[in-house]
Amino acid sequence: MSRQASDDELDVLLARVRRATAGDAPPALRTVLRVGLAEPRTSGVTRALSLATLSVFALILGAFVAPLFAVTLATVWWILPIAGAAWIVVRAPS
Amino acid sequence: MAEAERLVDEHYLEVYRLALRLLRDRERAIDLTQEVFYRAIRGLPRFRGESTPRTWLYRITLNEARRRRRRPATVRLEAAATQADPTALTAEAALGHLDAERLHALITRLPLREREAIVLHYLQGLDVKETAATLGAPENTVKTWLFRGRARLREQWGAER
Repeated sequence: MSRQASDDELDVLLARVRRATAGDAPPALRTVLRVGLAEPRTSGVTRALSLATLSVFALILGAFVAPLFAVTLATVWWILPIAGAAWIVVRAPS
Repeated sequence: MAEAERLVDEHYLEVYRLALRLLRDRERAIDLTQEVFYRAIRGLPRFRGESTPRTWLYRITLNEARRRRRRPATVRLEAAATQADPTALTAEAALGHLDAERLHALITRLPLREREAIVLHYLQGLDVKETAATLGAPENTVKTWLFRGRARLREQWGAER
């Protein structure tokens, strides 16, 4: 048969919990918090601008750079094996 | 910046203790304290002084703790107790700490509002008015939560013995 704690007993127990959790914070915590204040915070505007910049770069890369590279490669692809062959001939011992 | 530093200096310890009392885990309490001050400093320009800084910080702590409580807590009260009183424990004191640990575990299993009211009032030492302001509830409602929380704790304390 279990017995409920009385009000007085509960008060004593609550005071114990309070004491047991009233210890000091780790000494480094305050320092960490203060250092955190000095760090530059990223504002919403900065984040939005960063995102916008990233998007513009992605668009430029996708719309211009990648097709240009593909066209160039398709046009002059034959230069690569010729250049390779020439290099081998030049470097080969006579 | 000076205002932010003052906020940290004056309140970091009580915020840390509230976090520890809500989460029962030192590491998570440290993490929560950092998050609270990060949010507080960011929100400082919008703080209009309608409540005290302490009430405001406690509200941020409660909100963030609610968000984090979905993860299970580990019991680390002994570590906090040892830090609070580094002297060697007598057998009686050790039993007292075990009781405290058990009751703390019961508190963290209370329904949300009762748990927060009990922690703020009995552990953090706020009076009913401050507790009500922090929880954003009428004083009579807070008294009801405290009453129900106490009744539940008394009952569960007996049931587990």
